[in-house]
Amino acid sequence: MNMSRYLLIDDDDIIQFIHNKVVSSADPGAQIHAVFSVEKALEHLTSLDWGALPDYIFIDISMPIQSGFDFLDALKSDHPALNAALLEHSKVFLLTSSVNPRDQKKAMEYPVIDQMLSKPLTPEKMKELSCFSPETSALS
Amino acid sequence: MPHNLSHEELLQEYLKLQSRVTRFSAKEQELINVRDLLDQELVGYKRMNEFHTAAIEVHEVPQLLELIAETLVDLFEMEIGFACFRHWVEQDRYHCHLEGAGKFKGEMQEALHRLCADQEGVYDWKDGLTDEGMPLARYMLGKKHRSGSAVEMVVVAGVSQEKARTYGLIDRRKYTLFQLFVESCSAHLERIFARERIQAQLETIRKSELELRRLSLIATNINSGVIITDAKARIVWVNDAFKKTTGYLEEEVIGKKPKDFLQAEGLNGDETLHRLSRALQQHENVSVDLKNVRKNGEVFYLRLTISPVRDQENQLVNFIAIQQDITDEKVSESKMLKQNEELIKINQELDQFVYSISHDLRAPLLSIQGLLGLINTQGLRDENREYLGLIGESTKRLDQTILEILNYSRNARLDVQFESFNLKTTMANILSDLGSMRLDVKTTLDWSGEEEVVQDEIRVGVLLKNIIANAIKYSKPGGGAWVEVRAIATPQAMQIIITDNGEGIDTHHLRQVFDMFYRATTSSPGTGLGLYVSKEITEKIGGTISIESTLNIGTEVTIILPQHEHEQISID
Repeated sequence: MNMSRYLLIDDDDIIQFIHNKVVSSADPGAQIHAVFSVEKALEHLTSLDWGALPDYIFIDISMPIQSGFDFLDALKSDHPALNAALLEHSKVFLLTSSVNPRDQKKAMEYPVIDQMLSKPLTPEKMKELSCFSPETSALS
Repeated sequence: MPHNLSHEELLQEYLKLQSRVTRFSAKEQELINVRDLLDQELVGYKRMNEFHTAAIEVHEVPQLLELIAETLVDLFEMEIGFACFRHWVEQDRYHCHLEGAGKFKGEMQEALHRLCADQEGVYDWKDGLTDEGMPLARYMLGKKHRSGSAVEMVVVAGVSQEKARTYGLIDRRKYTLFQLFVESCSAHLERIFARERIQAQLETIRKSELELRRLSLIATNINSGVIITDAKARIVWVNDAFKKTTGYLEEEVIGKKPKDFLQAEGLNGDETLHRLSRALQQHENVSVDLKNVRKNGEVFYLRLTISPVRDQENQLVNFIAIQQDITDEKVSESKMLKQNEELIKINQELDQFVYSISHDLRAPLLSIQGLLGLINTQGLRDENREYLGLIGESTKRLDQTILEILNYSRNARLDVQFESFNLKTTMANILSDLGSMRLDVKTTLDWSGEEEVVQDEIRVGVLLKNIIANAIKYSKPGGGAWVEVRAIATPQAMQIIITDNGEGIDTHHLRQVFDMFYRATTSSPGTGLGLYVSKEITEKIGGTISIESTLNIGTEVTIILPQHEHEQISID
């Protein structure tokens, strides 16, 4: 069975804890990497071989210093190849605690984004997401 | 006489003597006649003098004409006297007076008019006219028109056919007197007209004087500054308001051009000045808003309205400038603009505030929901104790956020209240409260100067608590962490410096740490409100706050607050 790789980006440690639990219970074979800032996320992604890029990336929008949108902008302008590879290979989700219509609109301007989700992740939401990737049959 | 003369001879002698006596008495009679004539002439001149004395008292044309006609009858002993004048320019000014014509008055007047109009001669002395209804046996006509005058005077004196026999002939002497009389009449008429003209002018002068007095009263007492210049824009007069507004005395500005002492380099836009000088050159009305300088160097705003004044020949004689002080208007205008800017800023902040608050309030709630969800799906197990611990942490975070919003709101809405309190005690309490949360951080307080201060106790408390809590919160783990508070208070002000050896802040975040919701670290949860509220509080109580920091070395926050009087300041 193909093990799915997850990258969780959020500054809130409790949310990280919850997401970790939700993901690992929905996808018991999940390989989860959690980072607490955009800086660390970029550091992690650029260190990977493209074959080892995460299958799912969850990014929190509202984070101190650099926001989720800053992450997407940095990808586009500083790491175009990585951005293209993610577009090809990964599913990227924006997470937010309150959905601002402006953010929703803005998110749609980034092709790399698959969907915007409201926090926190729940097992139900994970099930819905799995229909986008039939090969991760562990969830079904 | 020889006695031997014959009778014949004697008779001859007698006859000779007789004829001599006759000759002498004829001469005597001649002399008597001449004397009578001279007497008569003297009476004539005397009467003319009387006329002159009477005429000098007359100031109206009809009365003068009446006097002339009467005098003709009285003085020249004629049957009728007629006087009229014509005004060549003012056709409606025509008067005449006929005296002594009795029942012929109507016919006579008509005939006389014709005579006046027809005759070109200046003076005439004629035998009677043949026209029917013109029963003048003899008449004297005098026409007088002075060069440069629009008035012509005609005087006629005559006797009718009917009564001609009882009147003596008009002789040369009478006629000479008549000529003099007409001259005199004409002079009197001119005098009356001259008097009328002078009175009309006097009336005009009186009216314009009155108007001038009214105008100058207005110009003197009006609230706006008034400047009158000559055609070359040099001041000839200023009013009291001008002196009050500019601070200059009259003698300091007379003869000067206003722009030479009221303007300053670069004070007004080129376009405005160009418009002003062009209007002055072309002698046009102009109104501009300007900035001018008072004698004391103070700048004031004015609305300047300049009107050129021309004389009857359309020559420029003056400029009248009215300067209306619009400083208050401008100040309130700029105040309004500033308030508008503030409003826009407040609105933007409010928008961000609402969004950020809803996010920050929801984040811990969502964590709680997530944790409860985990407990639900997993049932009660040991690890659920960990979840409950996390739930507790989330609710604490939520509580903290709510408290800080409360601080923010209180600072924004509540009136500042200055009262005397012991700052050292307050400080010591804060340190002991916060220090008990983290026993591994050593806190010290170094105090010098006043302990009692006059400030807003609640705000100072919140402010110090925020800053000291930050210093403790971002201290380095693993021992050796310290927070030091140094305070110096004088009767005028207090300086409080809070230093720590904690994580510090990166230089490029330092500028933004006082911004609303700005968070410079991911290492610890925070609302991004603490320092923002601290700055807002500091400004509200009249102080300053500054921060210096080096990453991984520590942070130093300096707060300077003024001591206030005991009073309550209302903040709207």
